[in-house]
Amino acid sequence: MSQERVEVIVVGAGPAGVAAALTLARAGVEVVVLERGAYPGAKNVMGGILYRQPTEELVPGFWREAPLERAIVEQRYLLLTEEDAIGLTYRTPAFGEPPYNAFSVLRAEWDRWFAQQAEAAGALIATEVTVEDVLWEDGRIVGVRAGEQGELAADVVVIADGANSLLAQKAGLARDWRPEEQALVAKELWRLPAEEIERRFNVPSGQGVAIEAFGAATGGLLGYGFLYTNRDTLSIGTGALLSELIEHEVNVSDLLDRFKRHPAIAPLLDGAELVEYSAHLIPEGGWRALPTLFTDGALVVGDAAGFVNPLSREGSNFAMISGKLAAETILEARALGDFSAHALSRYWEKLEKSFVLQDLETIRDVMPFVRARPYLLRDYPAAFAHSLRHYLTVDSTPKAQKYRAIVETLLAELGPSRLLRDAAALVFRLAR
Amino acid sequence: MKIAALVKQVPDPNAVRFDPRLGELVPGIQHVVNEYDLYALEAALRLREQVGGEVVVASVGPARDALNRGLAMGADRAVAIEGEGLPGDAWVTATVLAAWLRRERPDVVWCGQETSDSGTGSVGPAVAALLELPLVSNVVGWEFRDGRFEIEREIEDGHQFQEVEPPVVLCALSALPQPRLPTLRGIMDARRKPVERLAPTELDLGPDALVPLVRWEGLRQPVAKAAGVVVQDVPPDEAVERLLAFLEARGLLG
Repeated sequence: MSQERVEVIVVGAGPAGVAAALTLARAGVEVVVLERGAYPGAKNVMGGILYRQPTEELVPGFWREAPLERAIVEQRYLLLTEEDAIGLTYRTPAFGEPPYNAFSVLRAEWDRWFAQQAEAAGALIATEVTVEDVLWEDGRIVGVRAGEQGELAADVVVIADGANSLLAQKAGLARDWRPEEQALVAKELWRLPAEEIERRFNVPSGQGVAIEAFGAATGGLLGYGFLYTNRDTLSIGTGALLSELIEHEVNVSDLLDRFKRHPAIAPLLDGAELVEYSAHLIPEGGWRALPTLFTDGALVVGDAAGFVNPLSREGSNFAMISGKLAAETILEARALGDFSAHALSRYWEKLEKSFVLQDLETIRDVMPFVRARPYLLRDYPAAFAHSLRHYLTVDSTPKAQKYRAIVETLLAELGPSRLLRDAAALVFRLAR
Repeated sequence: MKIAALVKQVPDPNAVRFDPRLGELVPGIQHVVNEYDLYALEAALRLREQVGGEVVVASVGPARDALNRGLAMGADRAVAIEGEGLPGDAWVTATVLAAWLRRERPDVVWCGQETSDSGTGSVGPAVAALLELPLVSNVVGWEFRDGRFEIEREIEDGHQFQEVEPPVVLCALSALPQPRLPTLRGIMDARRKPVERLAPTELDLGPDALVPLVRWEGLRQPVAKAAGVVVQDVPPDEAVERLLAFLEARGLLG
């Protein structure tokens, strides 16, 4: 029995895989996307933020027709203690006007729409196919094996099977991951009428808010809580490094329950109805955990490659752009008729010129920095909150006395000079 | 042997969400193949593997993915009957299918017992009635031997065994063997298999033949029942006292 053969196989119909397939199909390449879910997006955690500019590099003007929830006009950062909250808000009407900056999306709907664009361009998207291994021939990858569903041969395999990529490991490109390189996220979707969301979050129709919360949002663990407004639902979740969850014997869904009960969060969810919940791994190993990104006959893209910026919660843009760059590399290799590691190494050059690798390098020391200072997300929020409470409580204490008390509180809770040292160290790591 | 498998696309039962304020399903739900129809298709493929012939997978209404799935699983060709208002109600669907089946004249028609969206369970029986064919519903097991089906069907208080000769309409339940996953070869082959597109007019069905008998009045959530009285964490004697008082108050102790 002769083997079925196509030019390119993409494993995984998430944003990275579909971006690669779309780019290839548009160039007339025969490409098949193998997705293990019942449909693209079926395996994806519900809510997320989609960025306009990188998405337009793949589908110009997508925001006119794609299933988007709300244009994000306001970003709130919260620092939480058990009961208190300190906030920083940025809001601009400019983000609420075309061409917009970012949108909240429901991943199941967005991924499906995005996959339809690739199908319309000529890609074949095959669902409920679980790829278990790559096929080898003379030391190069020549296809995939999907258990009893058989084998498929190709010139190149694009590995886009998401966080904790089984295939990158099977291809010998990634080692087994470590608990400090993955975050576990628990997410829920709550229904609330659109008008109520607009009233509660103080936004016009079609516009929305993204909230990221640190400190007690994760019980002081390295991670954050988030809340995004969708059209008539709210996406809420908490994520923390797996290593910290293990070390502190904390269950991530308990963290989410506590986050939802926080006095600054609970009123936002009041009266809403739970629709869905799920959990998901996000690669957080960054620069230090990068797998080998290409080999003879294969490339790794998106979450499978660990392309995520935990500091700015970006992921889908890294996924889509890496998929596009992988596809462009394949097109060049195809023109040469050479799919060796040497020809595919252009992928690395393209990534280095883009924000994908540059941003990962910029933040390469941030996670280790915070991990080495567990007090950052525990002591700082409390010290700041105590100081602000002092400052804002009007109790006829003379102000000079109050300021002294605040400084003493900060020094007592944080230790002399720690504050300045930490701030300087962080700035140094980000700006060098 | 010519075998027809009838399939329908339904909203993914795992993703269906109901908007009580609008009285509608939340839009944008992915459609999947009705589960019982996949069991019917699997049975059709197994029958072909046993006796040879061809499997034709057919659907009324939008069903591109369902038909592709059928072809990828191994059906030889697909027929998509599409037109305004289709699939319509069970009567319209059955009328259209019967018109097509009259032309195809298959030996066996396999269909799912019912669909997960409207759940009338009447398309199979109506098709059989219109074609004046025997019908065996609730099929949970079958064998084909010496030109006859020996069929096990599920009934309210047990199982019934029947024998029937083709031509026949059979309605599948999910106790039949699991539907196979398409192989990669099957998925690739499916792209090269014929898909025939038909409009009702091509089956000599005018608008008069496609008038639904059922009018859809929207969806409502069942009225929530009041919580019952729960007697819990009390000593048995007291629980008995409370239960007797409860029954007495309602005049239920004679």
